[in-house]
Amino acid sequence: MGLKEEQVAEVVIAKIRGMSSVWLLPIVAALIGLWLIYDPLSKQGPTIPITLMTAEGIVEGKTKLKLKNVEIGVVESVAVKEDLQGVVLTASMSKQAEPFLTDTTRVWVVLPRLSAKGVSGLGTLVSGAFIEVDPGPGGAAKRDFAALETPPVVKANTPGREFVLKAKRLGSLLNGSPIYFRGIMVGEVLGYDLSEDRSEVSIRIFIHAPNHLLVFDNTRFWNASGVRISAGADGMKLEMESLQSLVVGGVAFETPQTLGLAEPSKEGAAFILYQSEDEIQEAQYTRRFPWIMYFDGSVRGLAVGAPVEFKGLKVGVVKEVRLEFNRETLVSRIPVLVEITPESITVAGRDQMGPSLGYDQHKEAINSLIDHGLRARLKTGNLLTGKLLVDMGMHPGAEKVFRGKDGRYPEIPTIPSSIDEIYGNLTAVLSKIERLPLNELAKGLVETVEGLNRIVNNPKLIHAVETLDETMVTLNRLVAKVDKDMSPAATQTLKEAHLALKAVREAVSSDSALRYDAETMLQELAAAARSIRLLAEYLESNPNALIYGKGGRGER
Amino acid sequence: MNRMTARKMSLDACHVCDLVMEGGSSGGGCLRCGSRLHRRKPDSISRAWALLIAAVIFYLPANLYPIMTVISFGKGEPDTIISGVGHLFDAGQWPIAALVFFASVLAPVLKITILAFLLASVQFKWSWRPKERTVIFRITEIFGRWSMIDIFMISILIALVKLDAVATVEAGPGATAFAAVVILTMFSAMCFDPRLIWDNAEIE
Repeated sequence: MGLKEEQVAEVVIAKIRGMSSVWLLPIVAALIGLWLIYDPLSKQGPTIPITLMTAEGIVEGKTKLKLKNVEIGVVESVAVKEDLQGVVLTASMSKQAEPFLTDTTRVWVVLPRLSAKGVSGLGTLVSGAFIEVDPGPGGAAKRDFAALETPPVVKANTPGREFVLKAKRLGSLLNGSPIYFRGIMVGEVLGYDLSEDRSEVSIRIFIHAPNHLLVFDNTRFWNASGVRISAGADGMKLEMESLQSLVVGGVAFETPQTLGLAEPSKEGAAFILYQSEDEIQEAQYTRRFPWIMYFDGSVRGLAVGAPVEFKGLKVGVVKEVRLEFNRETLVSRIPVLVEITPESITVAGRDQMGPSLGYDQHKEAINSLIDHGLRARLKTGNLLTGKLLVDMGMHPGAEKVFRGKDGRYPEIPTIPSSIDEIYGNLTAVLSKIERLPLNELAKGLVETVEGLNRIVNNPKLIHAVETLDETMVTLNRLVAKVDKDMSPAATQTLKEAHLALKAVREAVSSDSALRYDAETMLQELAAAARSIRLLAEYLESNPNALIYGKGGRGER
Repeated sequence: MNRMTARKMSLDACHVCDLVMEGGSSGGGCLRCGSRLHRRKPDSISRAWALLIAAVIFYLPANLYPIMTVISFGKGEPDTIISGVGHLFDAGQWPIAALVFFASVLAPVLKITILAFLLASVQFKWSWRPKERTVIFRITEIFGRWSMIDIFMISILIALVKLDAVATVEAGPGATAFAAVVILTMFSAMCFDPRLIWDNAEIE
């Protein structure tokens, strides 16, 4: 028994040493457990707060964060902000998402959306909302995000280029409004904002690759929203870019053909958004120099935007028309601010147009023209509408009057318009009459009369008159004497002449005997001549008649 | 306490065919089936502890990891055991929720606790109520296998629900861990030799 006990004890000891092989199992289990804990922890990325306006469609623990539809995180909790300005989501991100959490990253909630452009996010009707993460290029690491209220139109890594359009007003453009190039949609409106000084709207647009290379620095953008109907001398015109643009607006662009343009515009380049295609033609010119003109007459019909013409060609545009009233002198005048586009004027002998001219050079040039008679006046551009335009021309004779006191803008002197001119001329005539030296004239007249008086009352003159009187008497006597001596003979002669003439008249009058006789004699003579002719003819045919007599025997 | 035991009578039972014979008479093998004979299960406490500790380690991932993902119309959430019970309870199916909770959460915990208690009692040679402890062990052994009901269900669902986009069921890492827990506790219970309870009582 004792021996047996020893044997058993021995065996037990040996088995204790062998126990280690079974204990491998919990060690393996522990290793697996550790790995199972380590694995998710290693994939566990940062936990980030996301600020939202409302938690619409967000479910704690379920709503995913996705990058290009790959799950990179999940919303852990939703809490309302203490100031009630929105909600804060806490999202736990996966490790792979970490490099994408930068300050250029945008996040937004994807929900079903219905817009004029179409329906988006339909998939979320079934799957529920998710949060889209759109990392931008570069950027520093960031851990808290504010979700966008509306999804961005274009995701960050879409190839293409972003530009900025500056417009006076937004028109009917919306986020996502299409950008057309020759009628093909090549981009979208990303968003819009008031500029810092609130004076214009800046619209961010995106042109998709490869069409972003079509945008050059001289590219013109215009608003192609809706329908435009215009009636002109060439009939009615109806323009529309596309049906879609009728609803959501649109922008079209075109690059004018020019030489020496190689580089497409850089990212973020700014352009002017013109209200219509026509406006571009007017605004081809990038340089605009302000000038001011003062008009006295009525400017009824002169609108902002009216053309400024030089010899009938447009060289500028009216920017502002105001009324200026001087309280002291009670005189009103109308300053008209115009913009001259030097590019519309080609300088002879130069390839380049106005652009080479700086403002100072431009001013100098215009001022020298003013010295040579450049004047502005109002002219009726359209008889039907009575629209006025500013007509500039050379009027060498016109006087140069500068009336601007503030030196803010250089001034172009004006001359009155045609109607004003008539008034002006009348006024001028009247003023000339007014200016006549009436007093001096009267004075001269008086002097003349006085002189006359002096002459008349001269004693020499009286003497001369007396002498003249005597001479007249002598002359009278002489005439009387002539009359007395010559008169009877002359009377006689005249009487005889009268008689002679009377006789002649009687002789040739129609009922005088002489005339009757003469007529009768002439008739007789004519008859005699006829008889002789007959005789001659008879004799010619019957010569024997000379011997035998007329109708004599010979015939019988 | 003076009970008659097989050990006292130098009797050994074959592990395989349960033939009882006098110790040493066989010359190292079972007279009927030829298996090796041990008076007690060899290395019982140590093996049971090792398996039990491994089971405890696996119990954590089994509950923390999703055991199953039901994907329906492209939308699905992985569920852990506890969240699954919660879903069933929310859906008003509280009897099933209670069943799952008992079989999948409570049963393994109870089994592990009881086994740990029994192992500790043997190791530290407690003589407290050997009969009750034996009864507890038997009950544990019987009910422990029901914990596998979850695993069975998941494997059946995975095999059956393959409707592509409409519905798909996928097993999660928790299911594997859970199966490991159940199997390890079963092995642990098998390794435990309840006769050791009486050995301690006998010593006293």
